[in-house]
Amino acid sequence: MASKGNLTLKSCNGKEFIVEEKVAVMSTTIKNMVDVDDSFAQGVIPIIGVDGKILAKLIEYCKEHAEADEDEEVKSEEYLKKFDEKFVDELNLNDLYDLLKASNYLEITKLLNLLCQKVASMIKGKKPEEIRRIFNIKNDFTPEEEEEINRQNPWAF
Amino acid sequence: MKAAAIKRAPTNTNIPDELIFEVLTYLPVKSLVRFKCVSKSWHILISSPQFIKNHLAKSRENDEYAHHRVIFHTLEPNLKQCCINSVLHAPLDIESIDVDDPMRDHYYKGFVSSCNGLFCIVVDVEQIFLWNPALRKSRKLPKLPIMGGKTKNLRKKRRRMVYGYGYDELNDDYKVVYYRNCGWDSRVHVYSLKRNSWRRIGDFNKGVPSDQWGHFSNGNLHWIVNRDKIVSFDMAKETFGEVQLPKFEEETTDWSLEVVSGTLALYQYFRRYRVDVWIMKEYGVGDSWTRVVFISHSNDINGLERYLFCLPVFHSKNGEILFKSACGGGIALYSPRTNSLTYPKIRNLTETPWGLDMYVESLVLPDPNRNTSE
Repeated sequence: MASKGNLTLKSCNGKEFIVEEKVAVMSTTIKNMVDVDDSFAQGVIPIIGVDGKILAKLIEYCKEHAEADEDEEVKSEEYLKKFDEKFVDELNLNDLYDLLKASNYLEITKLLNLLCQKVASMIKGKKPEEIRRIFNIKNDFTPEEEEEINRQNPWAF
Repeated sequence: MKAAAIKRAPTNTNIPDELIFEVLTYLPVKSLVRFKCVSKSWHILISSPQFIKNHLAKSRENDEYAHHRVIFHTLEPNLKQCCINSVLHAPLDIESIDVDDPMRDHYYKGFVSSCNGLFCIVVDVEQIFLWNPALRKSRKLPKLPIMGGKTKNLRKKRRRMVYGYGYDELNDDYKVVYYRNCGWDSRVHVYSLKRNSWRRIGDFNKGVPSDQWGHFSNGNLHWIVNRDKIVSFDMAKETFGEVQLPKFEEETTDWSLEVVSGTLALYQYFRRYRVDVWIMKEYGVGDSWTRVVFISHSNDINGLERYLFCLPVFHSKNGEILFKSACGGGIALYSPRTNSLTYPKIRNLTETPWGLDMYVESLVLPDPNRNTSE
């Protein structure tokens, strides 16, 4: 069991992580759980649908971004920006998408924004057919309809 | 069916729609216009008023100013534009591209202001356009309801006109305000994009405005009037009011009003000495005026003098300020780090630009029916 001020998070494949409460409550979902039900603060918080590898990544991010304690030095904006850049650059595509989903479910807003921005920068130059492939989307336009849309804004293609 | 879906191994593609849509709010306008043909649901989403609003909010907040654009006015016939970052990071070698300009044939173009990615532009005194440069869409407004009396001299006419443009959030409408800066005619007319027509709303009896273009902030337009007060115009109520001035530490009569990142800012000029910048931190609260920076002349006397009566158009979060000259004399970038001015140059152009205007790229259409979902 975690000592006072710490919480235990358990991934869907059974890995447990003991983290400081201020790190864990970067997630609004966890914060709400702890606020509403005291037993979560004592026992183990199950993180449904997030495996150990992804949970470890989430914790790594939250540790850096958690508020500094009184005796700690406040991290500079520049330092955090560098950390963020490195953090997203080192992710492979599968982890990126898994983290995106996990940070959405756990409501870690800052991380969610960072990851959305990363995905956006990856897809911004793509063609519509590439987008359909990436997100597994069916083209439900007739060829005529598609041509009509393209004709309205040829400069965007 | 449900069990099968759960059993299926997770792939890159099982990102829920709500998350994909969140990602889309980070994209540039050009990508979004292209992605309208991905599928019918993407087309509906990207055209929806809520998405356009969310996308605009994200673009405006973007830390890197990725969606902020600067339009340069040069001696060449074409307008040039670039990303604000080029100006901040490489002011002496700005890479720019030509802008698709629907008003190319008009000699005189007055940029009233931009709001939510939509410019209001006056051409040849009496014709007004709303223009979204990112979407390459423009709208010619109905002719102004009254015209400048007997004089045929456009320059004389132009001097008398006062315009303002902004967004009425309450009614989700874009409006243009117009009145004349002269004693015998003080009728105020308001154009509403939703109605696509002009309407007379009353008279202007607050004095003589010294600004031709109104400054839009917090749902109100603002003009300096009689050189001693700020008159406001509530875009939703369509009524005039006043905004309290700062308690100046030293008095001057030379000051100009600007809107910087949505906040009302007042520039106080001390000839040959310095420029003070005041920010109204809480809109409508006179006591919240705060002096935030002053630019002293230490390293650049000639430069500062030249730019003493320049108008600031942009404040970066690092304190850089982009100025344009009030009388077409050029543009300058102030750096707080070196407390000096740089005069930006565009690559392939020998002259420095004579003016500039800023906007944030958006999906807002200059269209009365832009709010009805397709």
